[in-house]
Amino acid sequence: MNNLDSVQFSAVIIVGLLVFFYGGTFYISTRIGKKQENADGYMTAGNKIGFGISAASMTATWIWASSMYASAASGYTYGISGPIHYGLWGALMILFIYPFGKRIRSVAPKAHTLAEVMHARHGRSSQLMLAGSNIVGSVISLMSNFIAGGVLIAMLSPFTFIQGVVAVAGGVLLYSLWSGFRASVLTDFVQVMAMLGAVAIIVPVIFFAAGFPAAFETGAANLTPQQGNFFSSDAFLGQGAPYIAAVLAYAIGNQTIAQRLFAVREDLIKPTFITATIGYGAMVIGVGMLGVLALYLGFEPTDGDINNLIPEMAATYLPAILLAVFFIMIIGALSSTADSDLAALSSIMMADVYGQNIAGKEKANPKTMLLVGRMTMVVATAAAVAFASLQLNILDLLVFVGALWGALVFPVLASFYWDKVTNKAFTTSVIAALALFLPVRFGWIPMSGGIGLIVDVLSVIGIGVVLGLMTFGFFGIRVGKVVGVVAALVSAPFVIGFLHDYATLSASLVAYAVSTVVCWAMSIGQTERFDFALIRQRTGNFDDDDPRRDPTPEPAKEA
Amino acid sequence: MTTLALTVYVLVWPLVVLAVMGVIGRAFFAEWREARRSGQDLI
Repeated sequence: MNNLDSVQFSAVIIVGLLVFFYGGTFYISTRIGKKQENADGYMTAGNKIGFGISAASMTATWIWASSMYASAASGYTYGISGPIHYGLWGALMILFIYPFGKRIRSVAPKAHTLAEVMHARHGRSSQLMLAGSNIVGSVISLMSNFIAGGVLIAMLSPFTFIQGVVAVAGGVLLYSLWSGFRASVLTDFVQVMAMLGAVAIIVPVIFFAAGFPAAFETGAANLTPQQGNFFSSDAFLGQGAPYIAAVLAYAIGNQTIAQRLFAVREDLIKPTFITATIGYGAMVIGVGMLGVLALYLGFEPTDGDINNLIPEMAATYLPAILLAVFFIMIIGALSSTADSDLAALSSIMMADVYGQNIAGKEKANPKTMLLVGRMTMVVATAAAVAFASLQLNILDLLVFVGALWGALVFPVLASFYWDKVTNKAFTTSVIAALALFLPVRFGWIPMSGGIGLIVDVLSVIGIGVVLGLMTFGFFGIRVGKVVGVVAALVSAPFVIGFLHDYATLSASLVAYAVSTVVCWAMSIGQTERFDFALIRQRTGNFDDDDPRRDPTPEPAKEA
Repeated sequence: MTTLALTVYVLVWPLVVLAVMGVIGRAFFAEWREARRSGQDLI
């Protein structure tokens, strides 16, 4: 059904496209490069990025190659509502961090990483939990993006997978290494423009080239009743619901988002996050529609591998020039996320490992920090290439990192609002949540009888926690509590006796529930209160114009 | 869903994408011009 072999690019063309893309982004990075880079600029660009760059960067970072492939796979598997159940919830990850982001910036306006703020709030164990999960998460993300690049180059050219991986890794490192986060966000603008422009052209072209809208009628028989139903319960339970549970976890846990939160001008947080939400959602859902079109057409990806769907749809229905545009779109998507991962990793090693745990915040040398950041980028790239070439099964590791982030959500957020939360409560609650998550997620214990019932009850609490926290962010504690309780009560009859069969969803909800209950129980009786003003004093710039040495408190601005 | 509704459903996303491109692009170039005018770094 596909036309892949006949539209392969020659070696010269693929090299030309890669040189055009990575040469262009390298040239852009040289325009802002400084002989003496600043350590704080390398991590957060001075905390004053404007709306255009920050919105572009937030959008570009959140869109990776897997977003497009997975959205199309969701459309192909679950039918017309599939891309919504992938893209909408992914977009809401960005939106739901915005109210929390405002609070985080108001208490730590000059921080570089969320883990650094946890160190200021609680101490080392909380910081290292967050930093460690981010290091693992970013290396996995880096590797996944290099793999996507290698697969695409191998599919569309005479080059091998490994050659593709090395080309992409080298290209990303080339433009990111010297200026770090500053290069990442500036090149993100160009990359996101290329991606958005490509989607605006490619989706309609494939739509008409493949014979739509007439094919909606001729191909309707290819859909099951569930696939043809916009309100499909299969799509919700299989794709949407687990993703809703992950919404807060990935938004709170991911340093690439936190880094942009600390970089954007404080009064521009709201428009930045809203624009990125809409941009991400429209683009990912738009690409996901290719999966729906493939379903109507009865399109069969080679070897039944659903990851081949998007490239093969493009290869089959696009002329060569637009296939080149498609190639740039995917390379742009994976590169923008990969450079953000490199910037996130370097910031964690600079601020959390060297700055606060090796040298100490008062003695940290900015020049040494820059060296640490650049060495981190080189080592992380080499490690990701090595892991990519081994083609390891990363699913279990990815699940574990997601669970760790889910277990961290309530303790992290509570630490910014509730002055009773202690380091002991934070650490114990996260460990307890993980201890219960693992056997549920991987089926280490049978879910029959009382254990299944306990898991279902915890899942009900988890539903209340997730919806309560989402509402709390926008409408405050009272509405959050009401929505949490009502959500738990309303869901209970549908969940109890049923949900433990869905291990992915119930395990995530158990992680939320256990961390919340334990953290709350260990904090509620505390008489000692934390002064949030200390966070501003304990975090700040590392370079010579450090406000910690001449502290002039800045009032928090309202977005 | 009818054929017309499905067509709109598929093709509306590229239009939203174009609108977001316009918003981000306009803001970026305004910031660029402002940075050049004031002699400051864009980032």
